[in-house]
Amino acid sequence: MDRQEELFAFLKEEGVSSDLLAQVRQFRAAYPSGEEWEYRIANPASFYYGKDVWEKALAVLLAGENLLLSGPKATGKNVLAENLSALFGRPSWDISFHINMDASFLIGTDTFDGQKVIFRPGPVSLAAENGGFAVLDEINMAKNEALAVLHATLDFRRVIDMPGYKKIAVHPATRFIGTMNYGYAGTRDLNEALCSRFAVLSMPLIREEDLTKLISRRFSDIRPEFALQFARLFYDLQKKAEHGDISERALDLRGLLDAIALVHTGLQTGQALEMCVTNKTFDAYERRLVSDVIAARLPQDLRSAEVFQL
Amino acid sequence: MSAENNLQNRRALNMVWNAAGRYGFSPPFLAFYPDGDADFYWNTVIGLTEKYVDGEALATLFSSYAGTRRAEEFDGLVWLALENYVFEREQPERPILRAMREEAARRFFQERETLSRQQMMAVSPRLYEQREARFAYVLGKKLPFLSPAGKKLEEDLRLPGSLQADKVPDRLKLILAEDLHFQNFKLGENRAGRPVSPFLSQILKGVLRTESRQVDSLIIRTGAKEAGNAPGAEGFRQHHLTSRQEGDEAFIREVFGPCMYGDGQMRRLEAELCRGNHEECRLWITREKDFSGALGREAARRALSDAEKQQGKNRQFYEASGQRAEAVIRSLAAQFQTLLSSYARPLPEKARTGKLNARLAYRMAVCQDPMVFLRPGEETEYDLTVDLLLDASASRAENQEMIAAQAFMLSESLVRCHIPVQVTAFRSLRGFTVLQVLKSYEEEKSDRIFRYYAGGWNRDGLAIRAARQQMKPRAESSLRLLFVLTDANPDDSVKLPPEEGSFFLREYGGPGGIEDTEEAVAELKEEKIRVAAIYLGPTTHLKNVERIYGEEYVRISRIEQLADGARRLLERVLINR
Repeated sequence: MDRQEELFAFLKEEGVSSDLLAQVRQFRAAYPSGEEWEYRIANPASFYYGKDVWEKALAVLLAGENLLLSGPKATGKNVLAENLSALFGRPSWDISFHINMDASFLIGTDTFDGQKVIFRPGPVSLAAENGGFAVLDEINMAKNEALAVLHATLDFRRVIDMPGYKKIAVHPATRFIGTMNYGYAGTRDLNEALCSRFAVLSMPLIREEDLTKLISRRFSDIRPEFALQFARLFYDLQKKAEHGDISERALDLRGLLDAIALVHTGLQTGQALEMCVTNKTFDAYERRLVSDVIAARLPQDLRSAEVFQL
Repeated sequence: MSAENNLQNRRALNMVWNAAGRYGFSPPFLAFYPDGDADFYWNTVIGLTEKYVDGEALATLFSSYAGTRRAEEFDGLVWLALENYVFEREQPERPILRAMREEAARRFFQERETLSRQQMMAVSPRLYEQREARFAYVLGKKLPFLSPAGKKLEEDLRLPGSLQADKVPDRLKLILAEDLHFQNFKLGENRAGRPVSPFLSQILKGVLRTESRQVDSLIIRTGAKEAGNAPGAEGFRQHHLTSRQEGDEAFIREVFGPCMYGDGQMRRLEAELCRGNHEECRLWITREKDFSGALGREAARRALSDAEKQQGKNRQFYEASGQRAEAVIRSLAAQFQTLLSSYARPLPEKARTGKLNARLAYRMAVCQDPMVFLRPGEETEYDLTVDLLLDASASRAENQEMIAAQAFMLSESLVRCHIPVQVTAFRSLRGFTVLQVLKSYEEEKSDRIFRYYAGGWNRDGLAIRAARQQMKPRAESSLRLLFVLTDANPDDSVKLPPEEGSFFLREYGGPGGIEDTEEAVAELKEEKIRVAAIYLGPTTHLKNVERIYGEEYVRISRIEQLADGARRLLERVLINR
């Protein structure tokens, strides 16, 4: 079974509305993926857990709207975005936004091919022409002025007008998925004009049982009691970060999963968590607080054989 | 409290909160090892107790025997009982608790080696033997010899986790009544009143390891009532009300340290600035780093000692906010970074892609040179300096710690963005307008800002002109900002010269002072210095702010918003650049 079918099976198991899933199948049948962009279709390593969020996201995309995933760190925004493009079987273009982003970066720019000046299309134009899913990652890192070029693309007009070049009509299968994190260092408020062109899905923190499942699925041989303790460690850190006693740096789901992988490979729990979680904060006092939280959950000296059923 | 103690206190709190699974409450107990480090296991127990047992019912129990001489012993025994209870309840959820408990037990027996028996038993032999029995039980060791009553107590103290949480306080009370024959529960008595000798408390800290301590809230308000005693709040003013006397300069020198300019230089500066409205005034500018005054006059000695006390308070106040202050600095620095990179105009550079540069287009055909496009290049380095001028007159006495903390955070966050920042406090005293440079552009640390204290008058017009002298000389295209923390109510005891055709001196407070300040700001603006105000004061003075600073001001309603206000102001200034 390929990964996309696995994803369908997973969603069915999670209880996602079969009606929505049927519509996704219809969408796929209506817009089969061409071979040219086959390599751009995502092959997600992990699946997003959360039935409600799935249903909302599917409904938005099926209705032809653009989706903005907004939420704090470690809520799985990018995992969901990747999962969605895989489920719909569309090629995806990931565009990481930054402060110096400008229109030419998104739409394309002139270049010289040795003979003449030609237009080199940017990721947004490519996605628009080829029915791709454009993932606009950390969309609020860019200046609002730079994003104005997307207004006509994102609203009912669905066109990209490139002065001096051509006007592209956006392919009907194209969708734009933005992700953003409020209050992150360097972020800003999205302006109203842009925000109104998205349906905003506020991403909740993953639930404990889902996180435990995620860990167990990723590491199929982990002992259940440890999957639970690792999951709870994440919530302990989350509460501490929420209260402002530590920064969000140590609140890193990726880091936690990496740590478990390191234990699997052969490191002790203490060493693995130190590298992947504790040391993500650079303040000595903060590190001590994070270590305390870890010490109240997991012994430092566990090895692979104790954590996993090898 | 030292900085390290403060950190350990906060760390202990974090342990408690982590175990309780919720944050922000003040537990009635915190536990420390004899060396002052937070006790991991016992703080976890305290937190778990908060999680499982009704805190209010327990507090009532703790206070019901608080007035008695056996209170310390009872505290210890009650905690032993709670320890077993929460252990049994939490252990299935948190398997590591067993290892933590065993570690605590091993530590107990290790410590026994280093303390004399008298020390260990100083609180109560009964408590000691019960602790010993508990930890022997935990480690599976042979229990110490106990009398039948001791044996029964030991068993009773192993409060089973199966007990319903709401029954716990009653059960504890029953143990105290039955096993310890204590009947005299006086409900609600204030435990804070219980006398504990310093010696006993030392022993308690070492042996019992649970220390009753009221935990400070995030913001320690130490000075609401004391503010009046802050350096000069009244003291300075009274001194100053007397007419200028000989020796004022010596007083200023003793309190603020030597002037940073030589006599000749200072005379020239005064000749330039202290004219017109300020003819009768003197200037004193100091940036002494480790000035510890030459204690001559009694008044100076008192003022200095008050200033030092205030410095301690400022620092303590800041440190009490713990990680949160650090988070604010980080976030402010990131915001400044974002602001600056938004408004920095990148210079175009040649590239292979981008906008075609028509003037170079021939090179494609002739030289096969593809570098004929322009794209936004690396950013220009923002050439920006920020000066923060803090009103340090007596009207700020209520908020000294907060002003110091906010100015510190603001300064640190600017330093992290590599923006040169200078922080200066100003006040007028005995005819001198004193500018204290608390952080110069070159200094990397902002610690001296904690030397801020309030006292005296504020002659804004002169202070702003003098601050201008301290600013970096203007480079082409540079942006120089002067942010003034002000209440827009200039007031000084040195009066203004009479208006033409009049014999009467005018007050500096009121219209005269405002007009003078307005002129000062206008002078700076002519030199292309952007002067903006962070206004903290009553609405009645709002029109003064508008008159003096035009549109370039932000109003903050609480001093806690100072740093944020500065950010908003910077944004506004950059947009209108």
